[in-house]
Amino acid sequence: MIIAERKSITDIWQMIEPFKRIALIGCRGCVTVCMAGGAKEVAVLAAALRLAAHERGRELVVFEEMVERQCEYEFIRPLQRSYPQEQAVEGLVSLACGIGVQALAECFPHLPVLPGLNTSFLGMPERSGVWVERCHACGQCILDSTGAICPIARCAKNLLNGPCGGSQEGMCEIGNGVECAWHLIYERLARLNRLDSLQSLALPKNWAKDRDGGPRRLIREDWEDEV
Amino acid sequence: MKQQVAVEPISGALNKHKVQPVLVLGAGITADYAAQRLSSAHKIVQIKWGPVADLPLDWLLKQEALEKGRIESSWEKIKAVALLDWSGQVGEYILRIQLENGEVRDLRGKAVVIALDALPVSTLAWGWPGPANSSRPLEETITLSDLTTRLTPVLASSSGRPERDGLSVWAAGHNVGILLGPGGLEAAPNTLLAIKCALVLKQQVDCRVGIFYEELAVGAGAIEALYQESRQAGVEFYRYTEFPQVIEQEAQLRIIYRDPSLPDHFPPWEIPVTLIATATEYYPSKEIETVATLAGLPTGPDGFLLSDTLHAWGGQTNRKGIYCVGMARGLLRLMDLPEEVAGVAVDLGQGSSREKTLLLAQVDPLLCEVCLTCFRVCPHRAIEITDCTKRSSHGKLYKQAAWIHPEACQGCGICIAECPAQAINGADPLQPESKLDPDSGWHFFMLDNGELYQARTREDFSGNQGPVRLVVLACRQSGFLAVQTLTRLLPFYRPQLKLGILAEIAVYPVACAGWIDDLTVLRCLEDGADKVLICSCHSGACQHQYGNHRAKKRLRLTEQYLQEIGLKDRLDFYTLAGQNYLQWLTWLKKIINQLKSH
Amino acid sequence: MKSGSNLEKVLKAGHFAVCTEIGPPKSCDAEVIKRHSETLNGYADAYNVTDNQTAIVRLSSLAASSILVTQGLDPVLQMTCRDRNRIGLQSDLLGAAALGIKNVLCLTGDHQSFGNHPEAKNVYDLDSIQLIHTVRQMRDEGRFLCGEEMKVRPAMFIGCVANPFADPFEFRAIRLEKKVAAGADFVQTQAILDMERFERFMEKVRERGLHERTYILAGLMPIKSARMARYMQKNVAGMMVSEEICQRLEKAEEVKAEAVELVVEQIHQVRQIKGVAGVHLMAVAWEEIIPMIVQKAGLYPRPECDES
Repeated sequence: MIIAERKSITDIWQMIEPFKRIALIGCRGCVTVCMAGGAKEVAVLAAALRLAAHERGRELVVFEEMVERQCEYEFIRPLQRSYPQEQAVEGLVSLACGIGVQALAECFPHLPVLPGLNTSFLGMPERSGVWVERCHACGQCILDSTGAICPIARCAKNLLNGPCGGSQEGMCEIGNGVECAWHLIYERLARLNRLDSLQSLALPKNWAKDRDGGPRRLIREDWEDEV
Repeated sequence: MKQQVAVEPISGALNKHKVQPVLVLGAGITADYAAQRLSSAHKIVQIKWGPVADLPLDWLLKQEALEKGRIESSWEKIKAVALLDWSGQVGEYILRIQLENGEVRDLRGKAVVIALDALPVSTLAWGWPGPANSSRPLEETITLSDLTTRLTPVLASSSGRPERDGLSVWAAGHNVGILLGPGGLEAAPNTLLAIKCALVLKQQVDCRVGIFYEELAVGAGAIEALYQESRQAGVEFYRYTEFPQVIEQEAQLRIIYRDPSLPDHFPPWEIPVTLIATATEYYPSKEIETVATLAGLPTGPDGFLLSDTLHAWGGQTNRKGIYCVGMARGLLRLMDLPEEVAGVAVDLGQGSSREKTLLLAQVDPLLCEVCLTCFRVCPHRAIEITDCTKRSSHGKLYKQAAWIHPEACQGCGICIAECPAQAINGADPLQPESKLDPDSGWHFFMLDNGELYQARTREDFSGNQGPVRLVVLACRQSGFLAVQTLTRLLPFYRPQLKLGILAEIAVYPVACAGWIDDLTVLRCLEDGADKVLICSCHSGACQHQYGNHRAKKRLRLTEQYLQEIGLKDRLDFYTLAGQNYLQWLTWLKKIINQLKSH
Repeated sequence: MKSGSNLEKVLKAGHFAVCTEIGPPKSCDAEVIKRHSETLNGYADAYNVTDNQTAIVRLSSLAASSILVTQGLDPVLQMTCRDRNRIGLQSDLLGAAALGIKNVLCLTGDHQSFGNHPEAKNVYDLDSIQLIHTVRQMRDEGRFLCGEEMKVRPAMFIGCVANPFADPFEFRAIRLEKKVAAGADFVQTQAILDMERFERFMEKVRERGLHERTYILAGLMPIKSARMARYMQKNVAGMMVSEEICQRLEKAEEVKAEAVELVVEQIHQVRQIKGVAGVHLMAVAWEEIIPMIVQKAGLYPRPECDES
């Protein structure tokens, strides 16, 4: 799941400074689940912006909309009917991940689309209100050799050959309560009696499948050349 | 869209499953007592699992408490070696147990009574007894419980004559030292036993008896009178700060006791004894931990179930249809066992003795994103994740959705506040039509002279008078009770008063402060409130475990971004108990004066 | 001879080697490096030049090493994986060889969050073990990481670090073995401030026969003050400072003299441990004390090794 957090209201306020009529567009997907861009957050942000405008004696109309998944054109298009003329609103604030912001912008070519969230990482809730990073989307999964614990996403230095010298008592040298991924891997492999897999040298990784290979595009063979 | 839903009393859920038994969990005295008492009206299946405490109930409870409920209509006993799983809800709980032969069995019950004994740990745990200067086992020791067994015939017979003779033979010439372990109130049952035994030994056999203690729980369970009686009878009491040593000298046991009131250089006393009785200490067993985890019940700081929960009276827990009585809540609770079991009996038989909830949460399955927030946060474990196509007529849009068990829901509204999809509804006390409903809100004016009046009619309270406007969201268990008391003391407002209105105050009850979210606060401010005041129960006193705590943490965040948008001091939090109406009034006046001067 | 560096010659000849460290300045002042090299010249067999240590921007390790070469010292070029990808690392390695640098120490590098640019993007394209592998492949096979051949091979004496004080302890010897297998000719350990743990580590090392496949230099650090020792004991990840060391510094009347005394004692201790081929003295911001330590430990003068 994509984890995101809302930008500070000050940041959002500055972004919408030029506009008198805006719409906040939430998403019912990941960002609802991570409490950043669901119906509640849209309503709260709208109320806060209206209050702020009232406090400053500024005219501001805020519309609230929810989209099933903001990363799909088909779900966004009904919105185009809600705002047929561009003069209806002057700007859209997307409370979705960065993907949603861009999809929204593609559907509204003549309207400014602003991000209301900071898209943080791919992760999961450890418990209510606490999310942790688990995958880096590097494009070439190595979890088979690392005891199903990802050192790319979870080691601060994305090391591939074991813990660096900064690992102490299971914690990473960068602090902040970050666990040493390699310590976890070591313990898990020891439990599975598979420590031997750590003896062999992991050769340099092919990062071309990560973002370093340029923007990625995935095509299922059977859909190639289809319209 | 938002509507109030009538709540079926708990008895409804229980009656539907009348054929199902009540499961009583525990192998010891607590469970035996609870099962027997409840068996007069319910089919009982007792799961014999967990430790057995070595305490004589007949010495600890009043005689009439023991004699009630002698009818045993149906009382099945099943011995279990493990509790593997706990599922279901009020009306039908399913406990998966493992039998001695390894067989796994599911037991169903309309309700479960947790009646686990605490784990007895002999005082030997401190390396005692045993004379410090000898390695031979001490034959002259007896546990306090064994002592009561020896003395029971005396206590039981009204004349006391024949048994006392037997006792005299056994006890004659004994010098008895009763050693109570360290600890205060929790050891009350031991204190009671010690004093009762001492009295019998002193009065019936005329032994010399001394009780050694660190703290004597005379305040608990009306022990005070017995304590006075035993002092007058000549029982000796020795308070220690360091646990006394026992030595053996010339075949004579001596308790080495240091009087804490004497200076250090004084030599310790040597008290010769011929018999030493020791009390047993009780700790939460691992079974308690298992139950807490599987059933979702909180444990207190001492490790006992719900030991520090103020609202868990009468055997109730945070989950409907699950009760917890006696020692599972701590040793002291054993003495309240009759009252607690009576509470369970009432709850099981006549519907909840608890105040009916007004707010019942319902999930709109079409809006639910199954984020599990409510499922994780519900303090009553009332929320299940179900296949919503079974329950929805809207077709299969989602495979799963949260569903709130209407009988298990206790209406706190915490889930409503936490739901990021706004998929959960409950009664909304801010709806205009309910504003002057005396059941849902009270309205006050503060006049220029500083006096407080209550509004009589909707016309009186236009919601737009006076320079200061306040909205108070008050928990029904605390703040709203205080305000209700005030309404009996405050006069009604009359326009003839010819005084300007300084402030108008609208007070709305909420089921729990945990219901209040940032959106509620923002909406109140949008509606023109100058300040929103939240009144909740004291920390640790929430009927819904942590509703007040969640509200406080959530609204601290709200305050932060209110500040970000330039709204300072627009939200305040006040914790109080229901009877603190005067303090509340003082606080309210202070806030109005602050706002006036701005 | 793999590289013909002074360090390699000393170790090959069976002498107990001494390395020390020179930290480049936080400016482009080459004089600082020259001053240090003059102070330390003759007191060690090779001189580590740190690479933006603790992620603080300093004069580049490559440039500083080159200055040492012109001063007649044998530098150990430290290379971390934090700031350069495999292209930059290989390129700098070729450059280093061209400038007459013959030792390279491959490290992962401290995380940038410790340094003065915590907002930087890190690289870590390779990790230290992969870097060792890369250098060895360039030197022994004359091929870049991608497999392409090169005409002149960089003759490098390849070093790595080992930290016996990091966790999991059991893995530390395994990790060292990986480094040796990847091509590490010598090893410098993290500063030993807990001798007992180091001895346990060496036991594991000997069990795997690593001391026969690589040269192990024990890292030692004089600590100027008791406060610093306590700080490292509590706050520095990957360091362990024994209670004894802290207390000795706390009780000492002359703390600096005691610090020297401690290091000299430690040198004698590690010489007794089987498999230790030398010491690596790290006197962070106290370089001037090195000559005294080396002298007191009876390691002065350093052996002269001929070309062979």
